[in-house]
Amino acid sequence: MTMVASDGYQSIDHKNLYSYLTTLPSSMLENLYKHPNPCLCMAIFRDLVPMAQKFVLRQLFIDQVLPKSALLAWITPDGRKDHDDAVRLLIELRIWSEAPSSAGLMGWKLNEHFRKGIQAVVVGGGPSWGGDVTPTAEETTPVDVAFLEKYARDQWEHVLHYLAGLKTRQTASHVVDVLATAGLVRGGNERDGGITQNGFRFLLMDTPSQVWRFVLSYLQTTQKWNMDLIECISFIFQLSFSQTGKHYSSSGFSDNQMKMLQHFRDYGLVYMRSGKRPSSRFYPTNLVMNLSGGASSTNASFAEGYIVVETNYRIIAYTDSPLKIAVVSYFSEMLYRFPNLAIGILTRESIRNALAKGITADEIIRFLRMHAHPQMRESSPILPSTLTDQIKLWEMERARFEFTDGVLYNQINSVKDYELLRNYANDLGVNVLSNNDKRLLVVTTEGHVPVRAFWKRQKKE
Amino acid sequence: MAAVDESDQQGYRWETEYERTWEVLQEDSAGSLTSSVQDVVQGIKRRRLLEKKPNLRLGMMRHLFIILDLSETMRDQDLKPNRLYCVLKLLEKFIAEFFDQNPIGQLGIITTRNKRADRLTELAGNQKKHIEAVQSLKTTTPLGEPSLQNSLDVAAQTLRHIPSHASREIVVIFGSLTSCDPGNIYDTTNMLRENNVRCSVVGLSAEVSICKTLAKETSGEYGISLDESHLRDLLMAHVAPPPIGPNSEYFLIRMGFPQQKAHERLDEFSFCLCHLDQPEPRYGQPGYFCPVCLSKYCELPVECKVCGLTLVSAPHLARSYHHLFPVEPFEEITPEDVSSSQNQRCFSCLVETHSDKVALFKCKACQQQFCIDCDLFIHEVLHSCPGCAGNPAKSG
Amino acid sequence: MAMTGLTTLGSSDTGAAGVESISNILVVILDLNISWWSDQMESGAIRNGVSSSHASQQYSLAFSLDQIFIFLNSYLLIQPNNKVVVLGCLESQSYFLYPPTGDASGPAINDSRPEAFRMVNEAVLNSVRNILTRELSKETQNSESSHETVFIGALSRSLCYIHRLQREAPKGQLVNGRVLVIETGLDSSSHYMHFINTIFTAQKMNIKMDACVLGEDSVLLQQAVDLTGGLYVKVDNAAGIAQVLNTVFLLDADERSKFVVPERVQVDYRAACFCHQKLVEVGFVCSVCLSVFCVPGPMCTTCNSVFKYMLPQKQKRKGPLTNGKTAEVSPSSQPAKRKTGETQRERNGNS
Repeated sequence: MTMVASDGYQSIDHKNLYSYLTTLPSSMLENLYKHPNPCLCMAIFRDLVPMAQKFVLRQLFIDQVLPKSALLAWITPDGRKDHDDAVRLLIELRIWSEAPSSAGLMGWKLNEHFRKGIQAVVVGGGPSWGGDVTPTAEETTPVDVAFLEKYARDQWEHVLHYLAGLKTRQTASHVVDVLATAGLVRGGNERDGGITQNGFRFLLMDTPSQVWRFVLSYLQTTQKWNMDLIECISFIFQLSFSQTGKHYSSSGFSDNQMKMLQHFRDYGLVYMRSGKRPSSRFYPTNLVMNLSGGASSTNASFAEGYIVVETNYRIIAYTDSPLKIAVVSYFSEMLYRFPNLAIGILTRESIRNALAKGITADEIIRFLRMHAHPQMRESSPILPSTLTDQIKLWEMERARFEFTDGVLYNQINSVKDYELLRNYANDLGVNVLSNNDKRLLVVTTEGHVPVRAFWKRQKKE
Repeated sequence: MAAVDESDQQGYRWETEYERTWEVLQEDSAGSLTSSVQDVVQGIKRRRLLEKKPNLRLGMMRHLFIILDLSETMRDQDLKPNRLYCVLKLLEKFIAEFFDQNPIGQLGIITTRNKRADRLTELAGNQKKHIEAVQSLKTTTPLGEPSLQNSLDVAAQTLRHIPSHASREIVVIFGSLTSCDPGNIYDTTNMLRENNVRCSVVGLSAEVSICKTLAKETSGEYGISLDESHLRDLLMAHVAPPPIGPNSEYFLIRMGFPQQKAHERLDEFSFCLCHLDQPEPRYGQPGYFCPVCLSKYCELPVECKVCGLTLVSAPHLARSYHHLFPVEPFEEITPEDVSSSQNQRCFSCLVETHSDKVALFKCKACQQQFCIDCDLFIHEVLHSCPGCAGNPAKSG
Repeated sequence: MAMTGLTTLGSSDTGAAGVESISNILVVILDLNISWWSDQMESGAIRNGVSSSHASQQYSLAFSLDQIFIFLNSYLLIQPNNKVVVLGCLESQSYFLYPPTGDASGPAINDSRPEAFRMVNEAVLNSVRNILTRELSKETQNSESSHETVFIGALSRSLCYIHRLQREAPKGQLVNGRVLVIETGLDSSSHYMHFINTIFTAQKMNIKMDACVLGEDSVLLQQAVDLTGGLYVKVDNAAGIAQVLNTVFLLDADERSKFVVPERVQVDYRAACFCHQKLVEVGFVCSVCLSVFCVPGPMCTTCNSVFKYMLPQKQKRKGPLTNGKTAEVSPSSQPAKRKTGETQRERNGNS
């Protein structure tokens, strides 16, 4: 159940929560919806496609089963395809189940716990979520939003530093565990685990996607540590719906939750004052709040852009952070370094090196676009089209050859034999290449066995 | 030279004293120019507003001809990528704006090229046709010399037959310094003046005396563009209805306000008259029925082909009302007038302003404050003050 | 093959002209017409068999406000980028309920709603409460607090606010605006010009106007909805408004083509004549100020221009004229009648 599969990366940006949840057994999903804290229902709801959201909202206050025909009557022919996608999605997430309606026709029944969860969110009146602001005990030195953001960024960069192999600080073992589960580093137990192919691609992703990926693999490692998965998931989502800059009390949290708080502190997801006695107050940072937003937080990264890309293939990174420079050096050749900036150049070799490491051209382009300097955003398109086209061309260069294993049949003496073999191979569909002049035939390795058997039979006759 | 006007007596620009433009910008104590730049920007924004003079008598039903110069000089590259392309791009925007502000107006385009004048589009109220025609000009090569007199004659031929309650206008976009005419151009100028045709010229090169005379005689405007944005300003100035000349007469025009029928019963299907000549006439679509002769049309405004009644809808007329009842300019509140305890919010967009940096503007009628962006928005786009809009005292 | 690959390369890069994210703004304009709500409450009380003295003045409005909060919360839930602005209009004054400008203090309730939702709900509730208490406590509350609703002030303010949000959005973010008017009282047609200017502005800014009408049909809102391409729904029972709002008005622009939506309403676009305020199908329009008259007269009452003579309809079709003089000259109304008589006869002759 690891997420290292290549398709896991495509689904990262979009339906990440959905793809993770569908891998869970259905009983666990039910328990998740049943949790008294409706934030998970809220997070899942936000992740649905818009049409599915509208279906659920329309059904929210109707207790009966919704007949399939009635659902179809809501849709115009244009929306039919989206309707089918939405229905499939809702079934897979066990939000909808088939049930007969009162008239006997087949219809859709909304999961009761999910319904109650969404109703609690939208109507109110249910019990509050915890995480209340305690108005009495004020901080002596209140923490402001800018500090929280800086703290989150620093902590997160330390995690990335470890991944990139830059030794700046001792990294806790649980961080290494999570990274290993995600397949981003090799050899979980050794501290010097090298970065894997997926690790490179991870470094090129934007921060919210990185955090998501990380949290998902964290949830998988919790099973290794024997922590209750449901509690973890709901705690994470509860955090993700908190308000910026407000502090929450951690009194009354279970052991698991306290443990998670400590872990999150190391990742930069929450901030707690360090001191002799553990503080009972924590501040969620913007990293964790972006979890429920998905891709909505690109605004934050706009102002942080530091890369200027010129049409002569030069990349100028206005930063002195070794991590950022290291990431840029993955796909470009570094030329100069100054105290406040680093200049590199995109060459064929450097891009091919990156492609060999497993990074795709799309990821490079997305990375450059994501971290483009605000000055670059004035022009449209953001990156020069010559550059993006060239990077893609260099990637396409590597795809010029397609390798297929096969077995070669040569030295076939008669034309008739050759044609017989060739036609038989065609019928079986295993013909890879046939050259009529030289009487050469290549079949796939799987097809070799039947073709050889056929030939032997022929020879006997 | 002809009779010297007062404006000529000012002398040429190089003869006047030089302006010390660097003194306009002043640094503040920290050495930053931001505040004075902001002042300049605000000044520019406000200037556009204050230039408009309220005028009750405007020519609402406009028949405008655009004469486009397609001569050799339009290949010049002082406007990027070349003059012709730049002008065509602006012309598309002009056409869209024109029909937006004057829904019952009509527009026609004439081009002049190689000493001839051609009608590109006839006077019509359909903006799509004009825009398509302008786009088709992008591939033509400018050639030869323009002929001002020929093009003015062609325009005047049609404008002569327009009833005099409507305004007759010509806008010439002239890029050349010469004109090749068959006869005496002053005769044409006189003819235009007698026929109450208002000619304005937008020049792209330099001041040409004949254009100046033409504009002056017919009480039009002559402007020469400095760069692209100035050209845009000059051109867009003609979107607003011009003041009615002293010789015009006022008429009552009979117009119809058709109803739209959305769904027709099967036995009531009919053809529409606007697409009747086309290979695929439209049948059974919803349309507007002329109140007099019950012929169907797809779009308004249109002139009924059967009975000649002009068909419009009420919003079309209402679109022009804001020219006649414009919003009064707001007065600026100086920082000294405002006490620090007063609420410094813009009334309409709730933006908080710190009065020492940005000025606030107050509407005299409803006494509400607005920030400068809302001020511009109200005067240029919205055309009604939000404070006065709900006020029962000010109705209409 | 490589060449075709290149052309697709270029086009996929530019995307939608540099749009990185989309933010949706919904502006809700609530009609707080006191007399309508109190009538509603009384008739509702009678229907439900509850004594009207039992219910406070704001009983029915509070219930409907809860329903509207369900709708607002659903809208905020759908996408994290969705923002809501609420305005209220009362007695031709308009107030920003959220973000609150005036006094919005009140009891804070902690329940299962996320904080962001709670803030919106509480701000609106407290603002409405404070506004209504202030209004009702006025000694000069005259009995003719009419059933008329003037929402035009709120509408123009909301357009300015959306314009501000568009200005302030970071580069690359597209701000989509939509306005929903929940109207209870009757229209007042006295501000038609302001109204039509605002609608044209909304059209230019690509802002759709939706309308949910609780009382009588509103011609102004029908025109607004028609001109901007929105949706119009008349609700009979205000108690069930949440379901209607959630079903119809949560749909954004592209979804409206995929869902079955209420039919386009037939709008009456006839102009009202300036002299009698009655709707005319064929009218006479002054060439100067474009005011509409049902009966031709010698002078325009709006701009005081004296008309030379009436324009016969077929003038343009006759031969070339000089300076608009025609053969028939008469300012009285008689020729007009003769004209219509002529055309009728001509038509009968032709058919």
